[in-house]
Amino acid sequence: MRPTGSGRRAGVALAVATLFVAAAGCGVADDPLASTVDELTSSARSASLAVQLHAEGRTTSAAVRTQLDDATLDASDALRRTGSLDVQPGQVEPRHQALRVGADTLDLLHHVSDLVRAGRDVPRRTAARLDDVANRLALLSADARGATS
Amino acid sequence: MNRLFAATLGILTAIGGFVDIGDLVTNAVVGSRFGLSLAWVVVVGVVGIVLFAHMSGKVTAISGRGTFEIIRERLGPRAALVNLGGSMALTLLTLAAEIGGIALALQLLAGVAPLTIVLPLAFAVWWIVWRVRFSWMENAAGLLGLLLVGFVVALVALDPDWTALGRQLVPSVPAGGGESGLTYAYYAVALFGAAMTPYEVFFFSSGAAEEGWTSRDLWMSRLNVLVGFPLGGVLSLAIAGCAAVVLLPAGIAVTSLSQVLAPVAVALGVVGVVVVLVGVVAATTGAALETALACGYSIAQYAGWPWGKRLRPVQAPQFHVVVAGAVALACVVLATGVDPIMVTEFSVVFSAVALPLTYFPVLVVANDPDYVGEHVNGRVVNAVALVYLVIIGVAAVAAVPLMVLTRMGA
Amino acid sequence: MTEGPRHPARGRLVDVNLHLLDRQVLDRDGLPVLAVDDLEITWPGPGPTGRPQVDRLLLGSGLLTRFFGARAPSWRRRGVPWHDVASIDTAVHLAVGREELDLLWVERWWRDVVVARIPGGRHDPR
Repeated sequence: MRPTGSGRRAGVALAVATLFVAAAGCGVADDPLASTVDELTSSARSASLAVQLHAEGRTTSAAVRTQLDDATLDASDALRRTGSLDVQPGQVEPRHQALRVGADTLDLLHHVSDLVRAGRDVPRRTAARLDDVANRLALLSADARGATS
Repeated sequence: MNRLFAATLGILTAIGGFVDIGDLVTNAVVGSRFGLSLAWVVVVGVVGIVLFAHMSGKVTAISGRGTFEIIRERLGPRAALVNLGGSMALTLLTLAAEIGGIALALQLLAGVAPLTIVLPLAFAVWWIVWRVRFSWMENAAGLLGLLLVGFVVALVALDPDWTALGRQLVPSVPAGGGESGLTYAYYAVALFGAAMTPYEVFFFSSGAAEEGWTSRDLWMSRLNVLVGFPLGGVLSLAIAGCAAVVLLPAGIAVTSLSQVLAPVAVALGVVGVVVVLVGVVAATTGAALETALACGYSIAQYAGWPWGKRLRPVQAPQFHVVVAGAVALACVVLATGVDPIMVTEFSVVFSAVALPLTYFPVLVVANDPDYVGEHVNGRVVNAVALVYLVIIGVAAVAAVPLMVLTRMGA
Repeated sequence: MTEGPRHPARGRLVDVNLHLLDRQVLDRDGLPVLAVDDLEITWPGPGPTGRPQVDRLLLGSGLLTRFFGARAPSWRRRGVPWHDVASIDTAVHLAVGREELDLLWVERWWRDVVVARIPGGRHDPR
């Protein structure tokens, strides 16, 4: 058998796709600032988990190093994007705070990565600070969402 | 035990289709962001691939015609070339991702820098296709890949609240987590496309020919699909479940392989992590072999050349040249420094083109007595297959808009 | 089955589009020999009635002529005489072995220049 009327079929497919796109455009897309702050939170928590696993010896040291490196990369990327977002008037202050806390988080991540790479233990105080910044970022993301609704 | 070995083709195909590096990470991403609310997609995907893989295996076993020969015969060389282009792009990018994935798993195991071992790994993949017997390759990669069952063990060991997990199974977008209906739909399409990627069908049906199956071996085809793919689905769900239990409550959205292993570390400690990582290396190697061979099978069958590992290389020279070329191209892709996992998510776009153009000819031919004699599809199978063609069509049309709108699920 | 034009000759009715074009060609031993790309028909035919007859099957992957139309130049046309065709089912079976076919020179080039020179190229994988 050979396909016939393939032009007509392509047209139908295109029409369906356009309808879909139009319908989807009416769907709810997430607030960009909250998204990037969520990514920062996720990096901090991922690093915190890695530190915990490292302290308990529950995973290979290569895995810990990689997880910390990945978290640092993700955080750095998210921070950069947070800085370059267009935000609505109600979000200027949340963004400012997010950038500040985010920068602290990134410094902390670098510090922890250096410790682990040097084969040293991560002090409990430092691990607690990681959790602390993660919680603050989570609150900021909720604020950012609240400011737009 | 013999029965288990008889099913290794199906197991290996399923491993390459359900728990290759891209799916490993995607399942964990989905679990960490959506819990188990997308589990139904995996089930739908398993049923679909069981149906179509068996159909294509049946056709090749009885008629001796490879799947891509049939696509060329049914659609004509131009439409078949569109399919070939789309499938090749997808399969090649997946091959690159798998080779990169083996390197990433070895990095987690032993700390080797991934970019330094890409070339030796690619060479090893090529050498296995060149030299190692098909059945040895199947058995080794398939059985070692089963070590991924460590995710199931980890999930049980985590002792989760099973009723709460069960409640997550209801299809719905999790509230308050910043996920939208759009990203839910995007991941549904991505998971479905990942379960039914065309290279699984090319590999399985060509593997049927490599194994020398005939019309008397259809029970083996059924055994393989009914053991392999549901097993792949269970592993997928276990990975998502582990992420849902450990990472979702912690607010960790998975972005890399290291996080996928974290629940196993929590549940089983370093021994579990090492065992599962060996499974990841085996599964990813199996997927690399599957995709490399699928490139060779599709192009050789399209062009009418001799193909197969069961032949001496001098008897199928262009087939082996294509496989070597595919591995080389995969290295070039990886050499650009691109993130191999991001590559697979992107290649979902190309499977959108290839899916309907692959499955429609297979369904038509599975009903043609010239090809399959008395083993034409029954009415129930045809009805279900038609439903799946509609689903595939919808997924094919929706894939690109969703990818653009959600910026690849961000 | 729709009625074709009335024809005094007996035999099986084969639809070129459905049963011949783009079909895999297999040699006497069942080994693959490219795909049917096109047919060459002599017209008027050699028989007493002058009816058109299939002269050769042109093999290849069918791409160039399908895309660009018209006829490929004669040096590109690789053909098998119709009388070498033994039977037609889901593939076209020839009565000759593939070693006797000149048109597989491309494959032979790859075999002799590349594959045979790599260690293990002649190794039997079983």
